[in-house]
Amino acid sequence: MSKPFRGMTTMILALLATAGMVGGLSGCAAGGLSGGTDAAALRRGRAIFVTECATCHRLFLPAEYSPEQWSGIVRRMSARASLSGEQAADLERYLRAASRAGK
Amino acid sequence: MNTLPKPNRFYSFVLPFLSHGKCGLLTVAAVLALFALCLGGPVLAQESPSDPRDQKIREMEKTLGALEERIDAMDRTKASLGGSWADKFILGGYGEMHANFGEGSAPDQFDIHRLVAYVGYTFSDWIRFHSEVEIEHAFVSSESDGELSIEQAYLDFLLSDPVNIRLGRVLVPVGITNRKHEPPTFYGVERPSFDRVIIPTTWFADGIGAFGGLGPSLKYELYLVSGLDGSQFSAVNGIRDGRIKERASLNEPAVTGRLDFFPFVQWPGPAGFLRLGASAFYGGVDNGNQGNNPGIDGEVLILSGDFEYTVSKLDFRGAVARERIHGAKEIGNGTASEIFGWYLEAGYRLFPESWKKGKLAKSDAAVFARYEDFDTQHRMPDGVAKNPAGDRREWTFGASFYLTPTLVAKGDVQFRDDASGNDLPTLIDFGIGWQF
Repeated sequence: MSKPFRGMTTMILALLATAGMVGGLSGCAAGGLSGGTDAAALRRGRAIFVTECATCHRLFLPAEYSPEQWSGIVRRMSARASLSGEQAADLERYLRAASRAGK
Repeated sequence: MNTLPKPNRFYSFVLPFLSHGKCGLLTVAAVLALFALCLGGPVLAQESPSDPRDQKIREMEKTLGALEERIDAMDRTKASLGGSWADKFILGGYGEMHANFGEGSAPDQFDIHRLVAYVGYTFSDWIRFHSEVEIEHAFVSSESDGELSIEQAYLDFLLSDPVNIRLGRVLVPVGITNRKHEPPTFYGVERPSFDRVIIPTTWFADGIGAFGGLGPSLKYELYLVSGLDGSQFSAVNGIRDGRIKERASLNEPAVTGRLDFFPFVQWPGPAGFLRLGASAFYGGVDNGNQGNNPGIDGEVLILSGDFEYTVSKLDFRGAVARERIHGAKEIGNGTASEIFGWYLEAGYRLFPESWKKGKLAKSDAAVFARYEDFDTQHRMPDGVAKNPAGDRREWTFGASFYLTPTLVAKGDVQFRDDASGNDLPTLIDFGIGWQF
């Protein structure tokens, strides 16, 4: 393996290792709250919003649509993004709440 | 499923703190406790906590919240399961039409570049089907370069958040544009040249794999898929023509995957969206169409990194990729043993908020600049001469006007250069693109 190629490989492996550690820590932090709390559901919804929606298009701010509009959008797009029922429910909760809050 | 009351002012208040995790909640709790200490006394003096009417109201609110939650759950269930046959279909698509102009001998043309139809179907709450059929350049015949192809056709089996199975024809998850290629999602009339020859788009492959989330801020995709046809690699187009679009051979399959990290999911930091991605593709190149393998002993390894960052009205994105081709000398066609390229792009959304009303309520506009540096002849096998036309640089400047968020009109100009010393014509493009 050539030197630049080895350097690239090392860089990407380091990035993956860092991402893995951070992901693990993030998971621990999320687990710190009991799974049934309202805040936990909203945090899960926010994470799905950031990680899933932006995979295919620009991230639209929650305030750009009304809570009722978000319900329709989530129902349609969650099937297209292959979200599970629980993920879609968390996403809808977050977007409706954030839309009302004007965030 | 956890029951949750309807969002109210409480959520409006705590939402900004949610992403801080434990610390955020402790902060909220501390603030609420302080608030209660300051105001609790006078309030308690005016209203008795044992007032039976308050108790009744709280019970009714709780019941109402539970009922609303059940209605929402029923609606979701109906949408995914209990709806009519037609309700289980999802239709969509995207397309783009271009007017291309160039200096000198470059062709001036109108090109219905892509028209893509998406059809999805929900078999059950955990089995979904997705497909895209594409027509390129409006007309398909043996003499034209038009194409009719199945771009995607796969089944998703949703098992759990961290592990789900995907089977069928999937997009190779390398780089940015190959997965996110609908016209409103990228700046410029044409896709970046980096995404034509370094990471060729649209690049699909047939196979099976897994995808999911490893925690709230980390996502992955990992597939075993059909490989590339090394006999079609070339000096200037790199691996682009090695994609097999019909019946791909499984003689030497490839492994491909990516990781995406979203730091701001957990750490709010500066307001904005940030995604950091790493992706790879590795496999043999002795693959052909309809089982006609070319008999080449070689392998290709692609390593790529990419990012997207949006803060306020600024958008940034970039990608870098290095490809190593073992057996390049045997492949011939001037194929390099290493290919390397990168690009950086910055955009600014400048549509005034005061103009966003009436028919323009959802409109936006942006200007952008992009620099690309890519070389399909980066390192050559011993005894093979480098073709300087493979070493290219491009500047692209342009503007986009979004009539709606998913319908965009674009224009740009491209200044190009390569190491051959020949003048490459400047290109001017206009286009309109959509997705739905």
